[in-house]
Amino acid sequence: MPLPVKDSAPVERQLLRDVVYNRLYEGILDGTLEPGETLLDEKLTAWLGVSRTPIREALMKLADIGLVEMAPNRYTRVAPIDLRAIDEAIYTAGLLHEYAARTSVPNLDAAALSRLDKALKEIRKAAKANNLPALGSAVNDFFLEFERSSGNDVLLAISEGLSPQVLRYVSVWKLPFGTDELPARVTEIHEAAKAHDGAKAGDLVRALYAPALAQFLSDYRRTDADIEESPVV
Amino acid sequence: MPVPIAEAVSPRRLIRDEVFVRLLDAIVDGDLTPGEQLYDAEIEKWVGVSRTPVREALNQLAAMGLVEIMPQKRTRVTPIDPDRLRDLIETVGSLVTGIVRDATPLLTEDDKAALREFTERMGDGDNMAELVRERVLTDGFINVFVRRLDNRTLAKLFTRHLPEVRRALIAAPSSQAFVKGAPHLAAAVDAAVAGNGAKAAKAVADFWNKGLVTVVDEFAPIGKEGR
Repeated sequence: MPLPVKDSAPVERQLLRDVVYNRLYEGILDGTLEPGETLLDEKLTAWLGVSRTPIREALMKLADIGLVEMAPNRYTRVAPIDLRAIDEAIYTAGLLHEYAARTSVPNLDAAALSRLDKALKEIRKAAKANNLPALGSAVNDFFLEFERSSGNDVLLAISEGLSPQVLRYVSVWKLPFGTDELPARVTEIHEAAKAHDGAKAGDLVRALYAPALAQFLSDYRRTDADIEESPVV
Repeated sequence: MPVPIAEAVSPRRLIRDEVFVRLLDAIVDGDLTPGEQLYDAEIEKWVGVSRTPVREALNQLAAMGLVEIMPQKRTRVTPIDPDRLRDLIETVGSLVTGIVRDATPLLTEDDKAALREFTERMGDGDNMAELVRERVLTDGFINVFVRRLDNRTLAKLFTRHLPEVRRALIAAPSSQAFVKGAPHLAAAVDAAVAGNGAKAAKAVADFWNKGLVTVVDEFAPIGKEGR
């Protein structure tokens, strides 16, 4: 019998890997899997009921976005909470959101505006209930709307890639983002978006994220001698 | 016993990195051309390693967008897609503009000297492929600002995405993207040296949007079958 040319196996494997990835991703972000916890292949195999290959693939993907740390032949673990990395990611996400706001806001359509409106309502609700995980994810969702509306797939992909670190922020929630004033600050940005004022929306996003940079510079930036000669390789 | 924090460097990791760097350089420099098929066996022979590190390196390159893996069918160097290239250059440009704005107030005298030297090296931007091969923009300009900001997440993003930009700049038939951008880049360096972050950022945005991004026009759109 001739072998079928199209095989479905890789597709299924791909899906399985994604299922495993999503379970682990959510487990790490909601704290089911604790920061620093060792991830043993056999335990994950038993927990998720799948073989080793999709688990290894999912773990490599999670390592890539900084949620898992792998040291070959030594350990695989949930990345410990790294305040410096979180602060770096928030600053970087701020730059991308600011750019996305400046370029997309002038052309936002009604559907995008209504999604922003919905996200803003979620922000208000979560802030009122003091539900920090919900607040973090609603704020992230609000800003990603600018990237989604930009039509720039790379911009969206890179911003989404920063989301896990940004979302881990909620587990250590502290200033510069006070939970009380956040809904009002985002409302201002929403008003600028409704007025299609990209410059104003961009300036407001920048102002909102500015404390992340100030904090990074005062708490984490190393002295000249300690910084790698060429950080971009 | 507490788990040690330090990153382990195993020999296996090093072999993978060796294959990765060899392939990366070959793709960026154009020795492996856009769309070219890659065969595991040939790479194994070329670099002299086994299949596993080769696959790992290819997966890493695929995550960067430089290689396309279609499971059990083919693996090839990703063709240059002008639409994606535009998105990529604009996104990287927004990050460069942001760090120039924010890192300019932090520049040291050594940084400023390095930037002046960079302007000399860039000249009128002619000979773009050679300048990019020698990493003049990456090391002489972008690295100065990234280093001063000391943000490793940003450094990682540039490390990951600049190779695809560099590949296109090297593959482009002409140097016009650099030639158009060079005056703006010189203005950016002048403003940065003078400590004016806003002005430097504006000039870098001009370099990017009026110069660099025009490299996209040098590549023909690829048809559906090419994707």
